[in-house]
Amino acid sequence: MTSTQYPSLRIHCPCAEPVTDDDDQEEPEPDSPSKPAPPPTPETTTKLELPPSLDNPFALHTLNSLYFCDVCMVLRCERCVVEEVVQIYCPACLHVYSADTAGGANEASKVTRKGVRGDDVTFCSRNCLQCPLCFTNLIMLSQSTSDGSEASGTVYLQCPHCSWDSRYQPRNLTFSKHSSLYQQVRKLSGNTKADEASDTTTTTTATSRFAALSSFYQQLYESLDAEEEESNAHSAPPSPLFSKRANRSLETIRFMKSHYSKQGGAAASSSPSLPAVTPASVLGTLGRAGGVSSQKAREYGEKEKERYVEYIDEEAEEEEALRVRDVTTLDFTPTLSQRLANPFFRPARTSDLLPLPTRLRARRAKRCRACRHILVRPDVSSRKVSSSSSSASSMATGAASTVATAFRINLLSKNYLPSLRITYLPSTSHAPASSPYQAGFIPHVTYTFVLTLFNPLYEPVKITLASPPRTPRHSHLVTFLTPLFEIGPNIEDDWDLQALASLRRKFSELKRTGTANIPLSQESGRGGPNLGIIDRGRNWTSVIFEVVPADARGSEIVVPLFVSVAYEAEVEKDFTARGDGIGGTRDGGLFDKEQRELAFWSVLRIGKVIQ
Amino acid sequence: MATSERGRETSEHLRDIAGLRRQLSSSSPSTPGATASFASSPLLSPSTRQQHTDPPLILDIGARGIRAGIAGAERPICEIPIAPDRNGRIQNHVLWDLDMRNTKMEDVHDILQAILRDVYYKYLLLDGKSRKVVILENPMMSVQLKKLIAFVLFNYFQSISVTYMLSPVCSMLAAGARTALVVDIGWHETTVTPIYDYKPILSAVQSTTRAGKRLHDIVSGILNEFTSVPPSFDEVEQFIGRAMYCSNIDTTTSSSSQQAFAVTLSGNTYYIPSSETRCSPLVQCFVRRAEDNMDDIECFPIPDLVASCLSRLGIDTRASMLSRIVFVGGCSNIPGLKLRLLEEVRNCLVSSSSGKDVEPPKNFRPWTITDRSRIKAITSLGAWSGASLYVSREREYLLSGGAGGTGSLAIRRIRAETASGTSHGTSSSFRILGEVERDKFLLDKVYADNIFDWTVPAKYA
Repeated sequence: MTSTQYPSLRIHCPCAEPVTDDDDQEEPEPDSPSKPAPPPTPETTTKLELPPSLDNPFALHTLNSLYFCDVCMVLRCERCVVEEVVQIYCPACLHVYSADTAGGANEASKVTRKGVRGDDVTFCSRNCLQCPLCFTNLIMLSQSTSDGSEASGTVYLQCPHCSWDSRYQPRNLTFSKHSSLYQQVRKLSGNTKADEASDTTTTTTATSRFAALSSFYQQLYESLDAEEEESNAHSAPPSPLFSKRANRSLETIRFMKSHYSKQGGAAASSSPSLPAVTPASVLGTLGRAGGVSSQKAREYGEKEKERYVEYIDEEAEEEEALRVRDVTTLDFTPTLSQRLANPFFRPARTSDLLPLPTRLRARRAKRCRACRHILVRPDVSSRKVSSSSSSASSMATGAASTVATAFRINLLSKNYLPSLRITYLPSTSHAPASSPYQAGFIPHVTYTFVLTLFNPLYEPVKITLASPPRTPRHSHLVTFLTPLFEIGPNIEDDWDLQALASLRRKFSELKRTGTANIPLSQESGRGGPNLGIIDRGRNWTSVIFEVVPADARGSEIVVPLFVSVAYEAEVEKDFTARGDGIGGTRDGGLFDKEQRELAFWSVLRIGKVIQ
Repeated sequence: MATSERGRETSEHLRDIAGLRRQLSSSSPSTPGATASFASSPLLSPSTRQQHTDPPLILDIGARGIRAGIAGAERPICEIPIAPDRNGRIQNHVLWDLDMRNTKMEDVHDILQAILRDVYYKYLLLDGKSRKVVILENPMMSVQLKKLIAFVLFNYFQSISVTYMLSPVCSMLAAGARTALVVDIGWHETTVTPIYDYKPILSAVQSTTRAGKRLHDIVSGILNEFTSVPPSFDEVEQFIGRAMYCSNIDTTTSSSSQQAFAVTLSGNTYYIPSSETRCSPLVQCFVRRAEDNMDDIECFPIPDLVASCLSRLGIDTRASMLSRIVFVGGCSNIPGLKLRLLEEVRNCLVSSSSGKDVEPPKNFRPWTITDRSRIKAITSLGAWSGASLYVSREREYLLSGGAGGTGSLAIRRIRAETASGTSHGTSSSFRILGEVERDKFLLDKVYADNIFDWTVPAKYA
């Protein structure tokens, strides 16, 4: 387990249903709004049950990483949104490679993306390259000639972090052009062998080998096409490699006939390095068909050897093994991550390393998985304005089409759900003054914490906290002194600054004196129901909770906390953005006021009990 | 109550639309021309229309990592090893355990989903919904795992369809051969798959636990002798990947190469006294028999495994297999290992003719010295590249109007043929598994339950 920062607070997303639950087939999670989602009966006398996935780390998120669907009125995590790539850009030069305009007519952008070949769309095809050792962005410098002038136009690359320098590599990498370095590097990685005669790694020839194999299979398919034209009426599946055995003998004759008839031409036109489709391969294609005699099968077996295979280069392999045997340090062997980082070939030694292309990134739109409502849509308009006329040639336009950072729609949970913060309140009487997060918690000692809730809504909210009195696994004792309280609306007002300042003062005072000798409720002068409320401000309230660790040494104190937020939404005013008007009025007709309730489970990880 | 009701209503409405859209798109227009009619439909996004022209994704999901890319490319775009992440969500280095009973499928689901999310949106940068997916599967891959992968792909990434291809077949395709004996040295298992004329002979597939994990454990033990702190997983893997080599002969006697070797791996420094230390674990792991010659049936050394695999084949197929041995898998990249294994296979086969170690099977023609030189290994670009070759060719072929415009992606044919390639004495209980389609999988529970349930031949039949 990586070192966790205590205290940590994660919010549970209800979408984490177990996989084995096959009943919900279509949209598995969200349409059965499990616990936190509203059955918003205000009297929450029904027994709360801990969601079973509460200890699944994949179901727990920080508030900032959660979205909120204002149609379903449920929070949505990264697993219960559907993502769509809207824009692809380079993180280094911010160049936009493809943009999906908001509507439907995005033919142009599609063309742009199609225009960039296959894998190229994943890499920046300009000058953005990364250090092969430490993955920092390389800087391009122009090589000054001997007399100090920079007229040569030759450039080289240097890493600002580890000072890897392309000139000092064994291959002395300098580039004659200062544009599209990516293509130049790409070319280099294709033919390392040509440059370096002694280079023996088989990986370097992989590109040519792949191309050769590709055309080899193409030939096979072309021969199939001829066959297909001939036996058009035939119903058998016509793949050359995998034809139905039942029809083999018939096909054999047809195929061979057609093949031999075009054999001369095909063999002549094929490149010399490639073996043409030979009669043996035709026999081979049809394999052990019933109609082929054993004599021919044997012949096939003989000819099979000449097929398009490449034997292992035993010498090279042995040489490489000897090389590794004789090294005395690993400095000349790239690490596994350095090897994996190169998408074009697998470098065997550090000297083989080439600058890495920069992977592009995508800006994504996100939709609610249940109702397909858009939760996040990045604003791609800046590009549309700048280069609407030249989308095809936008590759070259440079700074005109850099990526925007704005969002058109961004429904985040932190704008709907209260954010929580935990502070440890040292108590002079029991606990040691040092922070128990590092020292560990001592069993059977009461620790006091302050939980502060901030209300992001424009309405005052009623908060209901619920927590099992003993934590599920190790049964540490947890007591929330004030389970029910209110928080004011999030309305801008300058007096709040004073309140914040007063809180800070109060906190420092508390830290000095400890909680033991302050009357928890009376100071706010509101009596019983507000017991445990330490302070409140414009849109926040701080309440106290106590933790008594059980005698489970070394265990982690994990507190499940249910937070329910109830408020009356005023839809007729300027808050329409929150819900669509139709639903609001209908609700208004059914109920006196639109009572809304949001609820979620959260997990507070307080710390560890001492060993 | 009201809000949730409203939400549900809207969502139902929208889902109807989505369903309609899916129905439209899944009616699989058979000819390229038929797609034109969809252009008029406002419901269809361009990506839906392009589903038949977009090249499929190819995913190679292994226990230790995922390779992903687009068909037609020479290499996968990304190779993501499985490692504990910063959030502490992924805590293991492997996706599943060899014994599936020790694997929590929920965890595999979560991790797979998280990693595939990275694959789609960080590396490939595309939406899953417009793509078909091809998955490479080991012949020994568990059915529940395959179902889980399909579940994740359909549910979270809205793939149109998922097709499983046997990874040994793809490795062979990437070697340009049609007959091969594929030795895949993976993490949990080393699998030997004979393929004759593009048909894997699944009844003869053999596997052993002498694979990456075992090597890892051995090396971990050895490194531990040189330090006080037990080496971390990464350190061991770095050591294996960077410092290990395999000599072609046992170098125990020759002291010429006794070179001290200092490795600093993430803080710990190991002084390895002799280069022998960097070679012998490989021999111990893959080649050497147990001391009492009583290896468990699950962990035969690789040469014996090859011999045992051959003994299950028909006489006519053996010879052509032997000149086409393909070594693939992570560990096969260790310098010299392929050669050593090849040499050991030669030794094993030729010596086994005397019939003292391995029980000589019936109708097993004794191997002679001349056979020795015929045993050869061929290079392969790897399973991923093989799949890429095959899928892109097949796709081009179909797009160009081949196959008379009939049928969907014809990958299913390889599957149909490979699955029924049981000419060498397997039961006929193979279910033909082609393309698994999203709608069927998600809506038809019986289909989803049974589609993957073609019986892998009993391991020790």
